[in-house]
Amino acid sequence: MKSSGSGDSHGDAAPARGQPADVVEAEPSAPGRRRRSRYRNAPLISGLAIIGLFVVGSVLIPWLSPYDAFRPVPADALQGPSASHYFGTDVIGYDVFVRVAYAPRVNLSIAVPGVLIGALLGVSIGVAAGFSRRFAGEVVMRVADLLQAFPLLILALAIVALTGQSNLNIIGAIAFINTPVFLRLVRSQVISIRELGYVEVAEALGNPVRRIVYKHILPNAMGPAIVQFGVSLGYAILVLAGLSFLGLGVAPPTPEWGGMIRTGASALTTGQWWTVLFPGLALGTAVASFNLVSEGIEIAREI
Amino acid sequence: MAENADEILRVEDLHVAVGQSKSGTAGEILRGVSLSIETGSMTGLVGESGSGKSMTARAVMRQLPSNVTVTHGRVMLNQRDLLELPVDLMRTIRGAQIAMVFQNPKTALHPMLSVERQMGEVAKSHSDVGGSERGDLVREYLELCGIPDSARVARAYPHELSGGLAQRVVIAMALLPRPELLIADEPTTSLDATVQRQILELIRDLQQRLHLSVLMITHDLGIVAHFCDRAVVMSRGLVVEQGSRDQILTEPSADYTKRLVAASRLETLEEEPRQPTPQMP
Amino acid sequence: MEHVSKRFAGRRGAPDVLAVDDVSLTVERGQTLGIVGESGSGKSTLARIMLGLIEADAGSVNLLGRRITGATRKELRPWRADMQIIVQNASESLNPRMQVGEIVAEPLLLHSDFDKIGREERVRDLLFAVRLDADILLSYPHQLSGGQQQRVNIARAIATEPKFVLLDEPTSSLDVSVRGEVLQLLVDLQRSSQLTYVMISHDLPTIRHVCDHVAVMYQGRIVEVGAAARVLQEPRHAYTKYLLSAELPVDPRTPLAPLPSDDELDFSGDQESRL
Repeated sequence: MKSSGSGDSHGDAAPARGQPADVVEAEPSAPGRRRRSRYRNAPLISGLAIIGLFVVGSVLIPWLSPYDAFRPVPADALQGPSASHYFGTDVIGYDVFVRVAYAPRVNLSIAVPGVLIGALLGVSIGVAAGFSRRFAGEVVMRVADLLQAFPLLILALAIVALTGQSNLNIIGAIAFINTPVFLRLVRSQVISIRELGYVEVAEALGNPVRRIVYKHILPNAMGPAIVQFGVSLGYAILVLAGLSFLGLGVAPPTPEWGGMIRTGASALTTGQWWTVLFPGLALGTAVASFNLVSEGIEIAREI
Repeated sequence: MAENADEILRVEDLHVAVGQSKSGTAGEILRGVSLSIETGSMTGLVGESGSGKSMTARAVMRQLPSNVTVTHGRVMLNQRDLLELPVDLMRTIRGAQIAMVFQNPKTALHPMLSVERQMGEVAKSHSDVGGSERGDLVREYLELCGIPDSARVARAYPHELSGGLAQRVVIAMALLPRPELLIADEPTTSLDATVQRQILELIRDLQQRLHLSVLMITHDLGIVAHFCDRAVVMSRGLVVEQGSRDQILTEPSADYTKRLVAASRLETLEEEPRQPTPQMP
Repeated sequence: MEHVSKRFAGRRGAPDVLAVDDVSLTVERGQTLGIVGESGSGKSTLARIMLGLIEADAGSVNLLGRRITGATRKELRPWRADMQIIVQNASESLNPRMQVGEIVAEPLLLHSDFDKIGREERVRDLLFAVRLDADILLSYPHQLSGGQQQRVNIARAIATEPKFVLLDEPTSSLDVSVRGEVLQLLVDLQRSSQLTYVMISHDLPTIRHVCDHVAVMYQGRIVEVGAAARVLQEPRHAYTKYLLSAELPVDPRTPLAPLPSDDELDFSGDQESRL
């Protein structure tokens, strides 16, 4: 039974009274229900704010900027950040700012359907696998294990390479790599929930199996899946960027951060850092904001 | 109450609160608990869920959860205020002078170490007994706790033991450092009734043999009736009444105690015990 | 129930467990049968076989004139309106995401013809019957006390006016002061609605006060059965005596029966099973 807490940091000085006591717990205590009002849910608010900024920005940008994301002005190529080009221009003559701001349209229109489909598939198979006690459940798990053994980016690469480079195929690839994740998550939840009293009572009351699943098991199993959704969205954006960087993602001239980094990379050696930095920053910020939102959801659910 | 040299433990006006604010009584878990335990006696600390009985024990051991603090009061062990002690000193007292036994024996034991190993560790940190003698000491204490097959049990792992056996091991381990005070928090609640009786008789036996003082925390008045000398009744963070066992159970003075005793005997049920219908044997 | 048996496959190397071994029982309408036993005696399994929640390997169960064993889930469903269960862990048997009103209305939704308004009215009546305030209709389970939660369970169980209720340790998870009230409620309900109860309990005072007959289970078998007053006063089987000896009455003046010595602890062999 080790001590921790403020008592320790003073060596032998601190007496117990009025100070946080010196040990965390001798026995696990019941989960506390801490009330956190929405107003103090910093991760959720900040995450949503940033995402909101990206989304609104990508929608409004044609009106906010004189430059066109799809039409380069070669004469202005490779200019540094300035008052007229906030983020400078790239080697072909695109205004970097316009393209960075426009990209979320592309990202999200691919990431969201991809993750959504993957989640729906994963959740349905997960519930079925968790609920059934037959061998099939185990088989499904092993297949999921197999798929998850590959680094997800490589898997996505392979799928796109095999099926051809199109937005639809990328969505499919993202859905494919997300299915095992949700499957596993939901299945383990279902397995623990199905042992609980109210599920047994639900059957004793005469509920058809269908209703037991929809009304009693699913709502209680969804928690981790919802949190995972946020994280998966962030990761999907990253995967898309990675694919584009390797040339298998969104085809140019469509603006996409990964693709922009790809074209800008060659300029890097000649010192035009702005072609790479800004898309990179945007990417990092976007992914981080999704993680923040996920964390915020997790905090909100503790209530 | 005047201080009594025969008191091994004395809690005075203990206030424990949860959360940050020290002001205000909202969030107070213990609202001025005062109780005393006579040396060499078995005292039952009785209360329902939420009464604060477990929290009192934890406060005595100074093992409160991280967001819970003592805001007022004294805990005197042999006339020394435990709350005033520096952390290091308290750590030596824990285990060596006060030992605690919990409800679930399986979680109190390290699942990956054999009984011998775990008890050996305790022996090592509290005494100078060397290697092979430690093994003997371990077996001695196991036998003291009613385990005749001590060599086999010593080699076993916790998951191989039944609930009752595991609890005996926990008790043996708690007694190794020869504490003066044993706090048992619902030690038999998770056990079957017949095993419960055995463990309680064991504790009483040990108490008498080793001149141990025992604080038995329980919600079961039956345990108090047959195993405790004195009783302290708690409700909602306060001590409602304390006295000898007979006094509390047969002539309680506080309303709450009266209700509790009546409810325990199911005296509130209007029915007479059922009479069988004529045609049944 | 006649000659019911159930075997559970052992996990990974442990031997198979014969949870219920050739059990035969009869319960008369309007009566309460208590089932006593320690953990591992098979009483919970037996209870669930009774309601068709677990399939028996052998034997037959006839409840309310219907053959439970061998019936498919589909066949059982409409029958469930007549036979209900209340389990030990009051809070765990309530879906944390459903409001009290929804929870109690669920059986009505499944089995009755009431429309939404009809259901609401009936739920209010039920809450009244279990002595709960109607203002908890919108509360969630975690906002209620243990006693309240169990009453919600009871309200839900009687919603479809069942004739048979299985009670699996209905008061064990409750505070002592609340137990009496809940038991009183159960007894009152039985009297007013002519219910038949099978109550599983390890608490002897409860059995004494509430049950007409009692069956004692040990390792899957019924070792003694008979009128509650008789069995608890004059036990015949060694195991029953053993259980009784472990009781701790809340009266220091009542002497405790001595604990049997270790060699008296082998109970296999003895069997008393006449009702």
